[in-house]
Amino acid sequence: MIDGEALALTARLAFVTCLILITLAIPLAAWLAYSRRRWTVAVEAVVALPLVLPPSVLGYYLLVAMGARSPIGRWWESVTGEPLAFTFTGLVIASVLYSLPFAVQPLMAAFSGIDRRLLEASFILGRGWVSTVSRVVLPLSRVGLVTAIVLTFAHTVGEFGVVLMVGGNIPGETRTASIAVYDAVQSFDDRTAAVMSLILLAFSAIVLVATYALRKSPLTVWPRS
Amino acid sequence: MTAGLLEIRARRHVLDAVVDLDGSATVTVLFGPSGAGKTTLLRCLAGLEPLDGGSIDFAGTRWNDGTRIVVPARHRSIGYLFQDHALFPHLDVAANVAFGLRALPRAERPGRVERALSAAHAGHLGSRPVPQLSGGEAQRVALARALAPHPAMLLLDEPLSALDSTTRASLRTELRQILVEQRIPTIVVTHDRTEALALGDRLVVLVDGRVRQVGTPVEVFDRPADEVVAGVVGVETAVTGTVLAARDGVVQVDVSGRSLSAALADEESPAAGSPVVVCIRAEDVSLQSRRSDAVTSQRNQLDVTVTRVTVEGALVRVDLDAGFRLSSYVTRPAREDLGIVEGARLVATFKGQAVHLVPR
Repeated sequence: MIDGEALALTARLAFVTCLILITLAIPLAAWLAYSRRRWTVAVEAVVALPLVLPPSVLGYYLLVAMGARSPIGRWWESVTGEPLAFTFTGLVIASVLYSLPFAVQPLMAAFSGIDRRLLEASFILGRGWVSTVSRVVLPLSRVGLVTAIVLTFAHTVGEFGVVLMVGGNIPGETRTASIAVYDAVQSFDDRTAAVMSLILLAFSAIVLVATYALRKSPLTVWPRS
Repeated sequence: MTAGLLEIRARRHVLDAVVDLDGSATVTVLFGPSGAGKTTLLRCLAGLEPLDGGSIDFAGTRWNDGTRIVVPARHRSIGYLFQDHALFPHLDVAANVAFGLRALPRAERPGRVERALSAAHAGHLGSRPVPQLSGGEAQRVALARALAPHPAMLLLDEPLSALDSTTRASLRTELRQILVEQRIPTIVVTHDRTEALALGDRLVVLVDGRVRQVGTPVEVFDRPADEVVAGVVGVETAVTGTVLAARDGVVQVDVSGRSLSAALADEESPAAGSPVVVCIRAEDVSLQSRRSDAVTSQRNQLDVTVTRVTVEGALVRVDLDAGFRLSSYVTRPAREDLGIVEGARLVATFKGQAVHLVPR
């Protein structure tokens, strides 16, 4: 009735994705928020692409890139001895890309809101970028940071199309909770579909209520104002 | 302290400035009208903005070469006081001051923080959260934060402009004392005459990015090199004097043997014996003949000799010798009535309110 394996896998996927994404998104968001170069606009657009792209399209390109016929897929297989497509690792990579805007945009919004003079004061006092971001920017962006983590986690839990394309439906490896719901409906297992859906619904609702309460202001992920 | 020669050459403002930051002239004031690019220049000096050409050299090291920043801000060893303090709001006062002390062994930091705070007269603020500080307190803490790493040069951007007028007046004199005690070469950017007179050992007048005059503040204000500088600093007598006595809001000041009365507005009265800069604007000084027995309510009456007469548009500027240089504006009919020619002996009168004192 409850696909515990799928739930555990979903939690693991969301956790790993979150961890990787926050480490990636902090420097990326800082660069996008503070760089004076004009072409950061193009990078910003690429980061936001998963928001508008159909998950199946993103999934298709990822599948092509990870497949045994692509240089990336071949290189990965030669290094690790395992394929990328239809594995947990492939799923993590897909999730990271798919949830990228959900991590980068709240951080960017928070970073841009910080008085630039504080950063300049930090530089003049002898600090470099890494120290300035960790000692000044992040402590002043707590809400943005928590929002980024929560949204990334929730969005990864909720993804479906990309997982289906890249991961397929391998129990214990790539079969996430949302896939389990789909699978249950396909095989007329109404009870499992209902219970799993309810769990996901409750989780999403709780996460959003918590996030709204934290921000005490309307949550807009896109477009960034 | 490292003293040295600061050479600035910038294209945008055709700026060619050599500021000799030796020990004798501690505080250099960059003075000019608002929007003359003074703050931009200070930001370039700090390494926060690139030049659009030219170069900056400090003590033999090239900091900026053309549009390239050779030495980044964090390696310039400067203290910078921002107009609006720019204290870190998430850290308390002590942590703000300690922020620039990463190179110092951990054990030595608290002592250094304490000394910097007390040097900036902010010793009592140590554990206060930044959002609870008043404007004047925040400025002291910001100064302590800039002083703590023992910078080779201090840059102050309109240091008192964000404060209310009462705080500004009291902090002005104090800031001068602190800067003199620290003996760190300092560059102050300001468009405020009083600030320039109160803080500077040397005044660099910048107009349209060009250095028009360099001298002590009194020299520059009293004897502008040309009309452009005169237009910027205003036609004004600025002479050093000594306070003789202060009573009931009226201060007696000795200037070159002449005693002048100054009426205080709301500023604190200076102590007897303390040095002040006395400023008198030409438009506040009127002239009358020595024979005239017209009773005047004006507090100050000085016997003067005309040294120069210059027609400036509708008015005539009369330069006078009153034991010190004094100027007056009169109308053309008044000039004829009084028979104002070089060498003429007259009486100059002006109110106590027209005498502006800047404590040093």
